[in-house]
Amino acid sequence: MSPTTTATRQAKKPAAATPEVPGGYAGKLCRVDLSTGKTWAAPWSPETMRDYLGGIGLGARILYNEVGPKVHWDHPDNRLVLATGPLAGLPVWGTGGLTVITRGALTDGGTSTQANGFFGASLKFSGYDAIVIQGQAKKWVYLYINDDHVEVRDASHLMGKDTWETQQALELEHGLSGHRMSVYSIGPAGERLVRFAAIQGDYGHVASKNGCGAVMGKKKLKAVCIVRGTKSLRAHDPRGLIQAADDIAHELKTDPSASTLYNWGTLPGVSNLYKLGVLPIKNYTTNVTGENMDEWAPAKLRHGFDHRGHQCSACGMHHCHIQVIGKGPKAGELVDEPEYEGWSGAGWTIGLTDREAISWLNTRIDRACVDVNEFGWVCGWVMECMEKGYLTEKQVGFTLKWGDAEGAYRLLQMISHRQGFGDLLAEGVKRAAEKIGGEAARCAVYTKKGASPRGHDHRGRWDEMLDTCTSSSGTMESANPTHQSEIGLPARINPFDGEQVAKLVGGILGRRHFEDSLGGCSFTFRSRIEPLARALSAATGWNYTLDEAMRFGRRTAAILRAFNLRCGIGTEVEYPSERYGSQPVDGPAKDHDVRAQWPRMLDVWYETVGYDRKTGKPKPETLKQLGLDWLAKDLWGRAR
Amino acid sequence: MGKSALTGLATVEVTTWVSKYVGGDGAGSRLFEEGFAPGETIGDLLRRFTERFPELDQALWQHGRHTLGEHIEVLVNDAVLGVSHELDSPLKGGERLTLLGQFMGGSAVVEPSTGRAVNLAPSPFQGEGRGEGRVPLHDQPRSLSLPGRGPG
Repeated sequence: MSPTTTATRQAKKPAAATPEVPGGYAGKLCRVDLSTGKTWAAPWSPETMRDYLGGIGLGARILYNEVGPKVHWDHPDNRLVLATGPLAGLPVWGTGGLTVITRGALTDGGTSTQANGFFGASLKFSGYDAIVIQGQAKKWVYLYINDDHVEVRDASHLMGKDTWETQQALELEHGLSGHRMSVYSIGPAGERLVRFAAIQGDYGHVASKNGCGAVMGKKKLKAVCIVRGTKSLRAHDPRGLIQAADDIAHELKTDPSASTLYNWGTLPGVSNLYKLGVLPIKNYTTNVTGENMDEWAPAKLRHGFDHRGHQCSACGMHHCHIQVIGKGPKAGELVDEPEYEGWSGAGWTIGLTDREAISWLNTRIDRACVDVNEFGWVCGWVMECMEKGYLTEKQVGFTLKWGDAEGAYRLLQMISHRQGFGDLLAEGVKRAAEKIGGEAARCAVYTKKGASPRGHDHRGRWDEMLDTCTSSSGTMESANPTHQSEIGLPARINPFDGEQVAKLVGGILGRRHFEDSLGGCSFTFRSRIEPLARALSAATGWNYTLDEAMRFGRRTAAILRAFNLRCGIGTEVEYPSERYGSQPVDGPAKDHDVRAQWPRMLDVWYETVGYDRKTGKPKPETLKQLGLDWLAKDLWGRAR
Repeated sequence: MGKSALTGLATVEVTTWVSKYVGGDGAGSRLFEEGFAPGETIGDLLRRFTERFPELDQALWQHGRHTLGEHIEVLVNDAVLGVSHELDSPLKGGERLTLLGQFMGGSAVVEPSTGRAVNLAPSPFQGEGRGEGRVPLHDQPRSLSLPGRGPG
């Protein structure tokens, strides 16, 4: 099928990369206005690169500068930033990274969500560090990038296709496949503005959080398609870069706990988290199962399927895999090996323990472009409410019971197409529960901001609950502690001592922002910060240190926080929902109730990060220490 | 300590990837019945236990077996250490001590003089494995334009 061009505009001939562009950077942003069909290349300065790096750092600054308080997630002026970073495309593991930054649909606030595959590397080889999309197309389009050829093309032939079908259609259309072209797209859920729609790409990689797929759908942008470019990418010190890359890989392979990630990806999460009472079972109604958990060991999960590696750009991990459903009604179907979050959201959360069924459903969720975490919370909520009589067959349209894979798929279809009760569920579990009210509302798992917790039972993992509730990124912003002793924090804490938890979560704020600005994968960057900073220095020629990395991360966190405050998201919503913050009824964490300590946890967290407890604003002295005087003036006025 | 002095019994469960260090396959659990003497603590028992398994010993402890490293969670009767028990809590008998491997993150111990992680296996650049056959670092050009089609 030959594409029909709706708006073709060659990007203005870009200036050749000037010598002052630091190594690792292409030196330009690809700007796209879908309202006019105009595309253009926007150089950015080396000073800005050092200040904002890329990924979430760059995206936070763009959001703050260009998305005002009245520009809600569905407004044409909202920005959809698809960013890489200075390590993308370089020979460091997992550096095909994509960070999506926007004002998202679930919280109507800041969003940063990552995916991998080949997008970041392909974009860099085409000569761009990021794509910044604004406006809304009049009819459905996709964005095509092939080196300097940037074109907004008609996408009418792609409508209704799921994300895998969309990628296949574009591969056929352009005669390119595999690593030669990266495609990130939305499926039916994004087309219909489901508030937890994701952006999926390269068969199994998902930027899933805070409804970024709904933002893309509102812009009528079906897909972004990047031919692997032909431009060179320079490293300032290739020898140093390769040394640092090797050190990172070495740590991942040999560090006792990181090496399980190297060998098995996130599969060990199921059996491990169960031991800690952190595996969410049946919508947080229990933490105990009669299943033999030895059968959920990572080797059993992987080798239970015919499989092969499906690595991202430059990655040497044994993480991502494609597998084949071996038995049951879906036997023979090719699927993406579920991450831990898939086993959780498409499985345990909804009471489903048939591994073939989970694996199949998980890929169907990806193909519809739905966030698997929020799907789990929505579907589990419906199942529990139907079991308890809080929702009826008449309301839902059919009877849905725990562990019903076909029923869950039916619900997914209803949500993705906004059919019947699915139209309400497409708003996310918070809004659906508030609409239904009564006892049903008390069963829903969500943050008061509206963001989805990931697929853990955070009642046994208070650090992540606190992080999820205080975050400005639409998901966790500090994530689980990694090598925290490197920055002077204790190796171990009592996980049920709220004060210790809050000091740790506040103390690590910034690390994740640094990682997510480099253009790589959070799993392959799970080394110490020092070799990451060294890789950045070798790529760019800067002398980047661990201290600067943390300072950068905290700067970015403060900018996103200021953005969220301007969006109207304040301290009053930094709480878990009733069920999310309840006390487990059984399992290893049953004796611990986070509610008693929550106010103190917030106090300590605010004190640790240097934000004002009452207003939520980063304090003037904090901003000054971070070199954000301009933001202090915005937040506190010139008198300060 | 002679066996006759061991009057109490506790179970040590070694599970997930940690089981590789005690002869397992890295999945499931291995159970050990361990004796202890009156007045002994959880730390005493664990130190004596890990002496028999050098890799486990290296992974579990830091600072000369005085404190636990970050890699392995220790659970006592299914509760994370630090909640109801500490390392110096006395054993009463019948406890179940679980050594549960973390599956993400980690904590390489860094040698201050070199900045390199030292509690890990030797690096390729220290003369093993992948470094063989590679152009020695000092022979590599200082400036190299990486190919546009990149790795991967």
